[in-house]
Parts: sequence; C-alpha cells; structure tokens
Amino acid sequence: MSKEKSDRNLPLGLTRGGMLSQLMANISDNIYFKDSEGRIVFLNSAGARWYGFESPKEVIGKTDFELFSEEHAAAASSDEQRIMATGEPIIGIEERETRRGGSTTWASTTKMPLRDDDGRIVGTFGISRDITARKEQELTIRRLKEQMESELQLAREIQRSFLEPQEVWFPESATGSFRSLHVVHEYRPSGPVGGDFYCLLPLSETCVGLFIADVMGHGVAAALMVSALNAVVRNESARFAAPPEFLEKLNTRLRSFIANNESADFITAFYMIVDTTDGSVRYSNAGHNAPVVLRAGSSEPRALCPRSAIRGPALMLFPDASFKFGEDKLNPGDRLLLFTDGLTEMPSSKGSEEELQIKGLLRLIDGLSHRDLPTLVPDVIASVLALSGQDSFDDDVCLIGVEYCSAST
Amino acid sequence: MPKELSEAKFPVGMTRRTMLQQLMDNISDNIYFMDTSGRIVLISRGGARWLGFDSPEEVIGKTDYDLFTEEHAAAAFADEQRIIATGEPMIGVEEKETWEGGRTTWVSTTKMPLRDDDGKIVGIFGISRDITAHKERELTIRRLKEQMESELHLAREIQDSFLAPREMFFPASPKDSTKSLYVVHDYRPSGPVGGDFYCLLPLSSTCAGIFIADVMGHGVAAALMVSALNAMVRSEWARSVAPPEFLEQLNSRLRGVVSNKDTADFITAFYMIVDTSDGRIRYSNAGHHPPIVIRAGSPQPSALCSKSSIGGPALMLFSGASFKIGEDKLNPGDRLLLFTDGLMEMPSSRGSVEDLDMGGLLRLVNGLPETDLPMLVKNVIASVLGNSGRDSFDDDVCLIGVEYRGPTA
Repeated sequence: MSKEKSDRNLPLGLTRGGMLSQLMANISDNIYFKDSEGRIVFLNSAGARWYGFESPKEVIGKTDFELFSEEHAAAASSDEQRIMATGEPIIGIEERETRRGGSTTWASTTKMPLRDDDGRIVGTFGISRDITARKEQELTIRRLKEQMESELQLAREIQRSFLEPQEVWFPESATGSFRSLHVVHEYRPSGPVGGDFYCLLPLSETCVGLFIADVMGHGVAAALMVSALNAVVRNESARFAAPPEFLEKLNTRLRSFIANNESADFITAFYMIVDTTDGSVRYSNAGHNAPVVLRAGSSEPRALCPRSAIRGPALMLFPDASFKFGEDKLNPGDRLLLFTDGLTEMPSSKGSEEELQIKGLLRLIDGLSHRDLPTLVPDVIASVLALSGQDSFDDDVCLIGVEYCSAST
Repeated sequence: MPKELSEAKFPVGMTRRTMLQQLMDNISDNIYFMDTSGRIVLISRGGARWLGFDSPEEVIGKTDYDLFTEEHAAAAFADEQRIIATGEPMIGVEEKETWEGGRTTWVSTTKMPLRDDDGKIVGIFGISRDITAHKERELTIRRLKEQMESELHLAREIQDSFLAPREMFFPASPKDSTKSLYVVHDYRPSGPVGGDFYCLLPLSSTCAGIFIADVMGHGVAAALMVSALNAMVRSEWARSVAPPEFLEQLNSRLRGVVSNKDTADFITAFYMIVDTSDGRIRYSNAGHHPPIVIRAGSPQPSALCSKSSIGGPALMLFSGASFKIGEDKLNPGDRLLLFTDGLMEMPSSRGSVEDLDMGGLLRLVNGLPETDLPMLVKNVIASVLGNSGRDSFDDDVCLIGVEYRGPTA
C-alpha cells in the first residue's frame, strides 16, 4: 500500500478511512459499486435514498432491473457491459431515469470500470448527481426556443411568399427575343426573417417599376414593416406615379400606419421605372445606395447617380419629404445592380475594421463583370463573403441584377 | 466503524476500502477534503488533474487562493467558511470557475461539513464535476432564446403602434359636445405579437368604419399578415366603399400581395359602417363571428345577424369572393360587442372539452351587471376566463365594445 493510501492520521484528527466513510455516509450524490452482473455490491446512504430505500443494506444485491423501468435498466445495463468490455468510462452524461413507479428524474452520471488488485475488470462504479431541477429548467428554455424558432420558420414562409421568384423576365409572358428585361435576385436575411424588400411592378406593356428598400434594423420588427411596405407598393395608386411622387406617397402612407409617430424607424428605398421601348430610366432615391451600372462594352462599373443631389431623406423620417428625379438611358446589354447596405457594410478584408463601401464593391464587380447575369448575382454575394473572411452576412442582404436585353416592340 | 464499511470481502473479491481507493484513484470527479482554513488535506486523482497537477500529493496543503483567481477563490472560501459556521451543505450548485490566465470552466459542486468523531466540524468535503460542455450548450440556447424574445418584444412595439388607442370617440375632435360613438377595445395576443386586428376608420364627418379581423394561426407569421392588413385598410380606396365591396377588394388585394398562392392562410373579418346621424349600420361578414348587440332598455343580448345569412367566405381563400350586405339600426344607448374567436375557443365550463358557443357567450354577457362600456369589456373578458377556469387565453383575443350615444350634435 502506497503512502497516500495509508491510514495515517491527517491534520484534522481524522483518518483517511474516516473521511471516506463520512463521504459515503453524508454526500448527497449516489455512489455505487456493482459486480459484473450489475448487482449492487456497495452503496452509500444517498444512493439507497436515491433508489427509494432507507438503508444501503436493502439495496445490496439488486440490479437496475429491480430499481428502474425495463427500458432505462436495459440501457444502463448495456452501458455497463460496454464499460467492462472496453474499459472506457462514461463521463458526466446527463440521463433521464425512469423509476419502476413511472416517476422520472435527471442525473449527471459518471461510470468507471472497477478493477481488482490484478487490474482485471470485475464490475463498475460510479457517481450520479440529481440534476432534475436544473435540467427541467433547461428543457423549458429549450422548448421555448424551439417554439419561437418554428414560429419564425412559419413567418419566413410567409415572407418568402411576398417575394418575386429568383429569376423573372419582363414582359412576363414574352419569350425569346421579345424578352426585354431580365431580373435576378438574391435575398439573404440575417435571421429567419429580414428587413430588406424588393419587388418588380409591371406598370404597362412596356414599363416596369423596380423597387428596393431596407428597413432600419433587422429581425421580426423589420419584417413587420416589410409586410406593410409590400402591401402598399403592390396596391396603392402611387404605383402608377412617377418616381418622386411614388416615394412621397409611400412616405406619407407609411407614416400614417404608425399611430405613434415618435418611433425612430426609417426605411431607405430606391425606385426606378424602366421604359423598355427605348431603355430610358427614371428614378428617385430615399437615402438608399445608388445602383451600380455596368455598360455593355465598357468594363468599368460605376454608380448610376453618384451625385448626392438626387438622394432624398429616408422614408418615415419627415412628414412632407420631397424627392428629386434622375434620368438615364440603358442600351441593350447594359446591366444594373441594386443592393441593400448589408452588402457594403461587410469588412473590406478578413478581420478588417474597414467596411467594403461602394468603392470596394465597384472594384469587386469589375473583376466579375464578364459573367452572365444569373452567375454574376450569386458571384458578387460569394466574393463579398470571401473577401470578408466570414461565412455569413451580419445584416440582411438583397442584391438585384437587371439586364436590359433588347428594346420591346 | 459502521457495518457497511467493514472489511468483509464482497462478491467482486474486493474490500470496501479497496473500492473506495479505486474511487479516489480513478473517478474523473474532483473529490476533496479541506481543513477549516481551506487547505486541501485529501483529494482524488481526478481532482488533482482537474487542478492541473499529476498527483494528489502535489495539491495537498494548497488553498483555492493558490489555484484560482483571487475573485473566484474569495467566493469559494466564503462559501466554505459559511458551511463550517452553519453546518449547512451546498448541494448541486453550478459554478463558473475562472483560472489564473483567464480560462473559464463550469462545475457542478456539492460541499458538506466534515466532522470529527465528536461531531465537531473540522473542515469541509465535496465532489465537483466538470460540466463545461453541457453548460456552454445550455448557455448558447439560453442566449438564442433571449435574443429571439427581445426581437419579438421589439416587434410587439411595432405592432402596438398599428393599433388604435384603447379608448376612442367618433368624431375624434375634442370640440364636439356630443361624442356620437364610443369605442373601447381589449387586445390580448397569446404571445408577444398576435394575429388579431382591429381599426376604426373615419369615413366622413358622420360615418365611421369599424373593422375587425383574425388571421388564421398566431405568432409572427400571423403578425406579418396583420401588418399587411393594417397597410391596406388604412389606404384611400378603403374610405369610399360599401361593406361588401370593402371585403371584396380586401380579398383580392390580400391575394395580390402573396405571390405564392399555395399558402393555405385565411383571414376572417367583419366590416361595419355606422352612420352616426341616424344610427343606421351596414355590414358584411367574411367568415367571422357576428357581433353581439345589447339594446338599451332590453337586457337580453343577441347576435346581430346569423352567421349563415350574411356570412361570406373568409378572406384569401377564393379569388372573386363576393359578400352580402346586412343592415340594422342602433338607437341611442345601444351597444355592440365585436370579437375574435379566441374568446369563444375557450372551455364552455371548467375542465370541459367543449368550446364556448354563441349561446354560451350570450348567456355570460346576459349575466353581467349593468356598467359603463370600459367595465363591460373588462367584465366580458373576466367572465369568459372565470367560466373556463383558466388564467389566460390559448389564442389571440380581441374584443371591441361600441356604444352609440345618439346623433352628432
């Protein structure tokens, strides 16, 4: 017997054996030793109480099958057989125990192989701690979390139903060379639901409105505003108005929904009408980033309206906000990229404090400009992520690619 | 020495003392004994390893102050001194341990007083188990739950801002000597956000529209539809149409905002226009429960109309749905109760599996004392809850009380 195992008196006037016997008599954990057939050969007082008996004597010789439900006993027994076969312990697992009477408790359990003096495995031993109260609390929290998650997944489906298909053509019914406008989008909410919105509004046989918006913040609150936005832009008479008037009406409407006008929420938006007969575009801007234009034959992408002169205030901030008007012309093969600021607010390189900004985005698009539209849009998303060294975006991201293919007739 | 610690050989061919030695040598838990000044006098090998040492001998004589940060050691020492002073154990406490160098771990700890043969407390002993992995998972789940909760509470604020004040008059202008219509509501979403909606629409100087709706389901998905509803009914078109046309237009507009028509969602709604100059009301019903009318001077409440005679289909189900018109007349002092079906989908009596039906609700309303309108609304909610034997509703509930006080002066 080594020195540490001797029964010499320790400073407390207690022998080592005396201390261990106190441990067995008083600790609230269940400490048990079993033979190779799962019979309890040695057990402490708390262990006896754990199994519903007054004293350890009453439990000696019993197996799990006499103490627990068949199902739990079978599982515990097969664990013990495995420990004896492999010598591998089970450390700190949390398990539900069902008593024979049907009551259930949760235990944190460690089980080890029990070896005789020759090192041969002759049984198992373990310590189990009752963690029922803590575990039930944890399970309640887990259940609440899962309920909310499934609620948010349902909401995600509703929100998806507000969005356009990922790839659309205008005119919708046209085929082949009669297809004038090709629109592809990527919508990546940072959570189940997002605060970005985009829609395509057919205004006539040849004119189409493109609307993109970004509600301040993200998550459910922003998604409620997106739902309101969707209802307004698809229904209002404003739909047929010129871009400045469209944004002015939208601003007034959005303010009117909120009984309490003190809320500091705002929405940035960009609205553009494309006349597909000649490629002329008219647009207005409510605090949003200007789209990027890629001209056919010129590789240099640039902002559609770099002058801040066209940019008006974000929606919902001021009661009588007014908006200016910008004009431009698309030639066949020209492309536009509209986006929300979740894209440009990504780090400009891995771990960088600096944001990508428009400048960085333009550089990045420059390197991808030869790709066709359905490839370009997802590739821009992938390159921004790759550059940032992140797996996902911090904020909601919406990117829309528009190609003016040919004049409609 | 108690019998259970005698040296008798057990079926496994080991003495109790050897088994306890195995416990101390092999268990992964930290089993330790300390004197009254916090010095470790005996520790399991697992405990020594936990503390970063190869063998128990290296730890003997050390205190928490030699092993943990000052802050953690001070807290643990205070606990131990309290156990020594009071004899009260600490059972299954989860503690965060901060180590020199900043590393943190979690343990589940049980600490007990250690007594000498005379019963005098001479130190403490305990068992600590590493629960870091479980705890970190639990904390992640808890954090996600709390994030979602705070997100939902933000959404609730947005949704609250859509709702009319709890008590309203029509006409709203405070200069009017006679407030012709008095409207009080109680809105109780079953979660942070709800799928019920109500609004009062001023249509002219004498006419007001009262709209109530209930989106199928509840939670965030339903709240998104409420947000869309709110945006639509507060638009210009809604001010100038009769009740059947109001519901017809709303139906086609709602169907228009959802690009994916496969969603099986539907919305029940009731719309009523009150002409306050003579108390005449016109209404249409989209699958909603008819309001209850309580005539002045007649104590017997009744349904305003039967569900089948005026009822049309719920909104969003059919394109081109059409609705009938119902007419009635209110006399000064007459009251209406409009409500969503969360009010009726309660047990018809304590413990009953049957829902309250219109007859049951009318009986409950009939039994209420005569009071002012806000009290009436309060009493209806309280009596439905009291009748069901529940503390709260399972579904969202919206109840609106309307009182006609005579023609506008």
